Amino acid sequence: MNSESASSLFQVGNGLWFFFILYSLILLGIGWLGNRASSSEASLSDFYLSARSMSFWVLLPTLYATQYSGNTLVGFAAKAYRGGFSTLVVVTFMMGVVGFYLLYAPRLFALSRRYEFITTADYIQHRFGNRLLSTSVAVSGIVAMANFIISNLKAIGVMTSAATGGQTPAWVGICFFALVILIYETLGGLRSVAWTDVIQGFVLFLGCIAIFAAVIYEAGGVGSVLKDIHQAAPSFWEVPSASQQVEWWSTLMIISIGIALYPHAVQRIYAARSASALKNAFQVMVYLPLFTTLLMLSVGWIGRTRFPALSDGESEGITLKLLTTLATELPSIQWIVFIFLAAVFSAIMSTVDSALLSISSMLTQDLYRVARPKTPESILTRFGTCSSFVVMIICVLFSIFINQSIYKMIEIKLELLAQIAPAVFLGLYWKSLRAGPVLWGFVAGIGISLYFVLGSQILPWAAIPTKPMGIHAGLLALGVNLLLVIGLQLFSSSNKQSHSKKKPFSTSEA
Amino acid sequence: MKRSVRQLFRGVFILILLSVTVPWGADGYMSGTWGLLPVWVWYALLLNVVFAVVVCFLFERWWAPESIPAPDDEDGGPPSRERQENVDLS
Repeated sequence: MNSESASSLFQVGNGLWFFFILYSLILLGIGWLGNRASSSEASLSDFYLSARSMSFWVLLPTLYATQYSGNTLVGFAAKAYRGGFSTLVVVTFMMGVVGFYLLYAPRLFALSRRYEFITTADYIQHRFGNRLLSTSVAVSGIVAMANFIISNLKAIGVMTSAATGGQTPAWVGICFFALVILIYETLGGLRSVAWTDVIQGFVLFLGCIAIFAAVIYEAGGVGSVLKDIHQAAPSFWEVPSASQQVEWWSTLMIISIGIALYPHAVQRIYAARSASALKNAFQVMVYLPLFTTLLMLSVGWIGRTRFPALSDGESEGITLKLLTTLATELPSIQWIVFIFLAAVFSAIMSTVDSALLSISSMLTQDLYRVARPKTPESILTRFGTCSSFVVMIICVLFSIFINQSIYKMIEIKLELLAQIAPAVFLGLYWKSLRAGPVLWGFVAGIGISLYFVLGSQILPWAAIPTKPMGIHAGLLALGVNLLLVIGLQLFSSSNKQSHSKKKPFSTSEA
Repeated sequence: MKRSVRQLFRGVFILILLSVTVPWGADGYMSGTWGLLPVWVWYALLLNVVFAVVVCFLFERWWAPESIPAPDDEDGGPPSRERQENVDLS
């Protein structure tokens, strides 16, 4: 970063803490309102599902803000800078998520109304009646979401430090925002989280449009930008090779399926006021990647024309770099850096609060309540609140102290969540599907994912690929998982039929 | 057709639809202003929009109230816990 842009950023940084505090006070105020609107009788349904009363106007922003994390503004632009037009896959998988909702949300919503599910594992337990399976699903969800929180807290620390020109250490930003999230989340549960998501989603959406508009205007319009990109990065024009196309497809599948099964997304399906509110929210959601992800990818591509030779690490800050340069050249639009930072912090906070609430719900409903089934709901809700504090403290400590290389070893999210897919997708429609095959498939899927993802980090001498045959380990594991579920189910069904056919014969023999 | 079979077809349809958005072998360039981008990029962009429109339409078609039967009905609804057999892990 040049000295001019650094000083410009520092100027922004001075005003930034005022903005941070003002923004946090607004969020805390909403959290307090959420607490006031809560039922006087503390219940898990009220705390974790907002009493199943979410209208379209809350559902849409909360689904949107939750699905898009800080990665949308920072990570996707950096990927586009490095990967060129082949990163268009990002737009498609964000739409693919909604395609997979279509396969399970209608039926799951109807069932959740009848049987009052709180978590994904509630449905699994109801459907398969197998505590080992439902607990395994809950534990994998907790691990995946904890990873999600840690990576987002790390990002918030880096952004705070960068935005204040290095004046504020990363840990201060992490602790400050973790505390704000914790307070408003524990005040009103999903109600507070969803209401704050309305503001955060709005800031994120407008932020992406404003950033794109400013960058494209400064670059002289679409035609001029494309010519510049062609000159700066002719490799962007190359048709993806066969192996890149396979990787494109693999990315599309694993991320679409994994995100569609986020525990906090399932929580929102349960929380919808009506089927039509949920349906309408999804119908709008499917178009939003065009106005969010695609715009941020474009910023990354344009960044390549302005800063053609950044290293991989440097390219992670391409959006901020582009905007600070822009603000230095045209001081009248310095506000755009504010907008960007507001959008980033909104996206990160809305993701962390939702993930934290879903971990709290799984710890309370799927683990604590199972161990102590007679505990009153008011005590369970209190346990949920306390568990949020404990989980957040652990995640904050991890995000501050854990080494990046160690963190990479434990970073596993979508690979775990994707293994739940057969239980959810097949379980909803295959009436005779039993718990045994699903459990064995799940165990095999998790085992294969861990082997490839962790094995490649822990056993570097073994040269285990993270993407065998160019396919993501989690997708390969899901394939084996699915084959095992279908194979074992069909095998056990045919065995049962042959037993029942033999029965009359053996009875008469006796 | 049984509801579970219909759902299977729907799942396969979504998978195919998603797979089609990958620019398999979409090579070449177009002329004029359109030629500013290679064909495969236009293909990917266009297919993204088509995917969104189709999914939006399918939500309308597949999420009609009559398409969601009561959970325990005979037409493919998952059985409730009470009707589950004991778990057999063999």
